[in-house]
Amino acid sequence: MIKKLNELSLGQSIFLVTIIIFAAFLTLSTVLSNQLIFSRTDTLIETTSKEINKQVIMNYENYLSNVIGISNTLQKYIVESTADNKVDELSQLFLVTTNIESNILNVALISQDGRLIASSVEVEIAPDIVDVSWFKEAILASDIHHFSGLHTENFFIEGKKDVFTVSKSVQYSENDKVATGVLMIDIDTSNFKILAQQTNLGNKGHIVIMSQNDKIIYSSDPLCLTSNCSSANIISDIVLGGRLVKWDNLNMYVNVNTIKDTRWKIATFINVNEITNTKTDILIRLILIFILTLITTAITSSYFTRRITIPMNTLKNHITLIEHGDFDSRIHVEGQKEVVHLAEAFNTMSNRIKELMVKVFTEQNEKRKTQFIALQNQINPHFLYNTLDSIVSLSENNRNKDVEAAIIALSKFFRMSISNEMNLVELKDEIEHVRNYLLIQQIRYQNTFVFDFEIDDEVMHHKVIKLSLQPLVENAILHGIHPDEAFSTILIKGYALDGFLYIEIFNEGYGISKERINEIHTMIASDQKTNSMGLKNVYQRLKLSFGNDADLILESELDEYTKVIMKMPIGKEESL
Amino acid sequence: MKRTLIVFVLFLSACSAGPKTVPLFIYDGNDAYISEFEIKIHQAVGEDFLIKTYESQNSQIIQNEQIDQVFKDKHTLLIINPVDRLSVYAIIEKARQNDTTLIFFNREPLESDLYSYDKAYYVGADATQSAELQASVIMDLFDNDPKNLNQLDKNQDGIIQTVILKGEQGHQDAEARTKFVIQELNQAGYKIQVLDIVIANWDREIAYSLMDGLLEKNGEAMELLISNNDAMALGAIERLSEKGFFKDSNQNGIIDRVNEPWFPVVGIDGISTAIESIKAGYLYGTVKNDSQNMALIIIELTKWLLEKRSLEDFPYEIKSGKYVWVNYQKMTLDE
Repeated sequence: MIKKLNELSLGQSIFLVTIIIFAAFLTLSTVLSNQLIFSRTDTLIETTSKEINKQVIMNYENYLSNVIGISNTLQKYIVESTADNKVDELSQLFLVTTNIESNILNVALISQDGRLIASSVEVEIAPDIVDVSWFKEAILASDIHHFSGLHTENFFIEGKKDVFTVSKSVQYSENDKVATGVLMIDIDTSNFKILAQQTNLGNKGHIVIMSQNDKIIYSSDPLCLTSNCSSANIISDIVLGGRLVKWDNLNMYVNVNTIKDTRWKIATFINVNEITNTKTDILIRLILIFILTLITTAITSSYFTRRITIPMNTLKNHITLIEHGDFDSRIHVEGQKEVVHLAEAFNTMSNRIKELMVKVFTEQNEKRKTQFIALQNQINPHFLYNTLDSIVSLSENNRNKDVEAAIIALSKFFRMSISNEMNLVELKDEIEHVRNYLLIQQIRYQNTFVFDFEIDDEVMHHKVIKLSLQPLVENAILHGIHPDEAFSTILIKGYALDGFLYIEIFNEGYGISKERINEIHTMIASDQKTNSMGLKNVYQRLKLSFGNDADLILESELDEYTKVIMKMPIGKEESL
Repeated sequence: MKRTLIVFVLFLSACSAGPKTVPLFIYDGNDAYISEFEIKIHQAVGEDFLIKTYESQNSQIIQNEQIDQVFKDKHTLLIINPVDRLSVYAIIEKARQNDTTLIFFNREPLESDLYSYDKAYYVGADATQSAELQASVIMDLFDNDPKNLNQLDKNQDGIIQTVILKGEQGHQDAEARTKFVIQELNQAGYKIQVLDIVIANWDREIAYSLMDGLLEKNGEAMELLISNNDAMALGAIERLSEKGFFKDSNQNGIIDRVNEPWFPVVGIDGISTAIESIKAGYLYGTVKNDSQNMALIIIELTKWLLEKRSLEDFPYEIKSGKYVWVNYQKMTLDE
């Protein structure tokens, strides 16, 4: 994993990490809020449905317990009236009961063998009444009221109406003996239906009432008339309690409960489609928010990543250019300010590198030139021939001492010129070199000039540029030997003043005009090629080695003197 | 990682271990007898399992809801005092679906319902027996001489004029107690005239409020008040005292039946307030429903069923493999 991560670019890593973290947190929050909302709505559905179911059952229980209450009262009167042999009064009471209680269609007391003892309507009843289920069940379990299913009443009102029958085994007196009979009460079912319709159970919501053996007693869903309908199957499956089910492609919350005293089950099918649809809506919205946030994150993260990585890449490419030696190109980046700073610093750095490189290059170049010039001088054949000729003539004149001195000077001069030492040498070495040179030239020019050194001891060990004096002295000899005078003087001074080392080369010559001096100054400072290579070379090297404070100054008075002053800051030699 | 997993597993097993919880449903926490009974059940429980009580506020709808909830928690055994004994068939069906054992008490399910499921039991007292013993208390009241009733037969017609406070209509105990107390007295040779049967739903307050109507109608003729339970009897006594039927003339807190006016009332159940009332001379007598013993038997049966032990060795008789009957006891000042 880490290895793979290392292979990714900076941009990819930042992007990937951001997306992963965001996706993780988003998923977590989406799942959590989804769960919360779902459980909340589930609880809401459950409690609301259960409340509605409770209300419905209470309506039915009130309605039915009223019937039981009437039956209890009637039973008491049955005992009393039959004990007093007032059966007629009992029929009258039954009739009044049906008049007061509009739900009750018919009340009758039937003996165990199927004889009508008392009835609210005067009819003859068929003896097979004892085979009807409500009759048999009442006899079978004598201590409870039996609630029959819906049926058409054939014994009393000839199938005119749908009723259900409440039957109860009762004790009564017949011929002063206790006998067992059945009290039956026929109940109109229209109120049953009204109760169902009064409750708002939503579109296609309905109520199903079933007997204990899963026969449909009443259903407000017109399609559910037999115990094989889907609602009945759901009820048989649930048995008791509440559950969310799919019914006819609708989400229904079904509550199955019992109705007190009746051994009936009642199930309310409540349409909760809208609430469950809301759940789906919320889910879709949550997912939309999830996707949108993720996309936004991806875009923003990639934008900011690019603000960093694009300039970084430019920088990287630029570094590759520098690797290949291109110091001239410059980077222009836009983006994160830190990276822009970095690029600017990089530009400065590459500028500086280039400057230094140019400097080194120039310096090396100058040095090479100097050496070349020095070499030229050394192997200048005229210089050597002339010197050797001079030595020959000295020898012919038997001036052996002078011959010896000349050869020693020549030897020393060449040794120093050829020696490949540092760029900078101590002033005393340079003076020694020039002295040898002057000695040789004195012989050549047959003592037409004299020279002298006035060097302060304290400056003897200061650094000067190697082979810088000789070209200046050479110039002094060329231009400074006055033909009209027997002896010209060349004076070389060295002193320190205000942190500078000054070396003056003084000669008595024709002098140079101001204009010419200016010309020479311009010439040596420029890049152009000149015939005065020696002076220019010294000037350039002076600037390179000691910086801008160093200078080469020409002073002159016509027919009087010429003075070349070399000025160098002390201790500021650049150690390149 | 591995260690975390082990800790987690240990934690889970620690959760699932510990004693089992057995849900106990009582039909109404306001019923004095039932709430006393619930306390006795809690006292009878050892450390083998825990009992969690669900109180159904005398509503089968609430009880059904609670039972549905409990079935979702996968309990293997429920102890139920049903609100509507006729609705028990639905609970049994649900239990069959979940293979759950049921112990019913206090309200007896229909025999056919109980026999329809082999894991259903009933622990209770036989209502017939309570009626027989209540009849016996009444006989004591009349000095056990049906031919020659004592001074409590105020009009001296040789017939006991009585009013019955009936529990709940359709409640098997109420039906049986009402029916058999009269039947038992008749068989013993007593002539009984039932002036009125009023249904007070086992409730003290209802009985109290029904008394005015009864007194207005039957006032002087009334010689005896038979109540299906103690709570209703105590409600009636409260109103009777206010009407002057009981008079603590010397204000010693005790009715002296020789010198102070009193009225014979008999109950059933033997709840603690009824026993206090007997000691104070108000309630003449009651029949103690031995809830102490019944609670012990229910807990013992629960233990055996949870441990899947063979009920053949069960220390109490299990009639037809379904019924454990607990005996009633007579309670009067004399006994």
